[in-house]
Amino acid sequence: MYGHLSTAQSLSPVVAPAVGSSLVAFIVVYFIVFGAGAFYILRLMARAPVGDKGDQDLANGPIRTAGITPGPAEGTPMGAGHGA
Amino acid sequence: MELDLPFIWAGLIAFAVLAYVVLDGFDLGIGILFPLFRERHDRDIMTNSVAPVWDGNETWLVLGGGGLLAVFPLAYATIFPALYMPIIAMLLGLVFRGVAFEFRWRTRRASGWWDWGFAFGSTVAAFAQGIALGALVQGIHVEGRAYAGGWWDWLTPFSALTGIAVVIGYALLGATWLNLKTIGALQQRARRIAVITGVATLALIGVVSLWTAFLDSVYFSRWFGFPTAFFSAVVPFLLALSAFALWHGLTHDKHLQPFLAALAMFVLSFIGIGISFYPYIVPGALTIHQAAAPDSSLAFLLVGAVVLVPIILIYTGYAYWVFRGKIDPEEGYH
Repeated sequence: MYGHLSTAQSLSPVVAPAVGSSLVAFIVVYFIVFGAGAFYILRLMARAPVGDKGDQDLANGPIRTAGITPGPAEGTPMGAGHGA
Repeated sequence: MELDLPFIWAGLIAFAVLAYVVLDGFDLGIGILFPLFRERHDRDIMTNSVAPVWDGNETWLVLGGGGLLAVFPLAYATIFPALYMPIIAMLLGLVFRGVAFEFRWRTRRASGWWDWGFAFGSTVAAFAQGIALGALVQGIHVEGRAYAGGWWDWLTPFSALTGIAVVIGYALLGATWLNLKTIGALQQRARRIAVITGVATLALIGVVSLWTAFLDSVYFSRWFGFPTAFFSAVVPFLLALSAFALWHGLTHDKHLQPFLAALAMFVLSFIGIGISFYPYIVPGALTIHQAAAPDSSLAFLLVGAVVLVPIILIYTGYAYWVFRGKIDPEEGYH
């Protein structure tokens, strides 16, 4: 805060090894999760959508509060089954 | 009449944390129970039973943590450095279990890996939460206005025990949730697990409570001193009543009652912690009033909370209403 509190004064009392290990842990976990996520997205993109019948891949997933996207999800068994 | 704003906010934060514990408790419990159910079909039903609500449940943690920063900055600044490691472990566990919900449907080859990720992430998150609770109860070292302990202070036999207790307790919530949401062999299985985890949870609540009373003379006098013991004895009495309701519900083919009874056990344990802590927010170091932000900030934020919290409660209730009833085993399988 300009004129009131310098960055060095506002440091939290957390020691360097704790900060370091959490940083490394976040990097490792994010690489795994986002790596796998990118792989699955690319695989989904490699397959063309089936058209009117709705995409089996999208229907075959967890139950969702909202649909996936308005377009392809509409009219799928999933979208139909969960109107209030 | 002057409003006691710090007290109102302490109640709101406590409510957010309690809502988080009971709601995310049962869906973390589903993950903790995952290794006991080997069939892919069972696991699909288990994840589908919580899929529409789990992410909403987790959001209460944001209100609890964010609210603490805004209205009790001093508590935030002392508790979070003290619990740095368990909180980071909890967040990483939640990352794994969160993506596993989606990823396990996207692969056949690696779905076993994501199932383990789901179970492991859920268990780590629950254990870390229990450790954080234990570390707070046993007291953290505050000097002046800052945390003054080491980065491994949170790890003691007591906090390890509270970690185990929370894992077992969440497993109980998960099992009673499955008893409510599923049918057939899966439900029977869940009910047997609920009996075992119910007994274990009750035993662990007993051990942790007694141990807590002997940690600190303030805690001891709250529970065994005269005349406060008369009032605080209501909590163990109601706890025994809930335990009976749990057992009665599980042995008499009730579907909702065991889940509500398990929730009541958690609520009562939480009230018990409140009785031990009050008026402190960081036990032995900072009271609610000492840790609070200025009244002007509290009033400003309270306006937002008074509008938003009821709305959140209404739509959360509506979501549960829409997804009420048993899970259709064919759902999501077209």
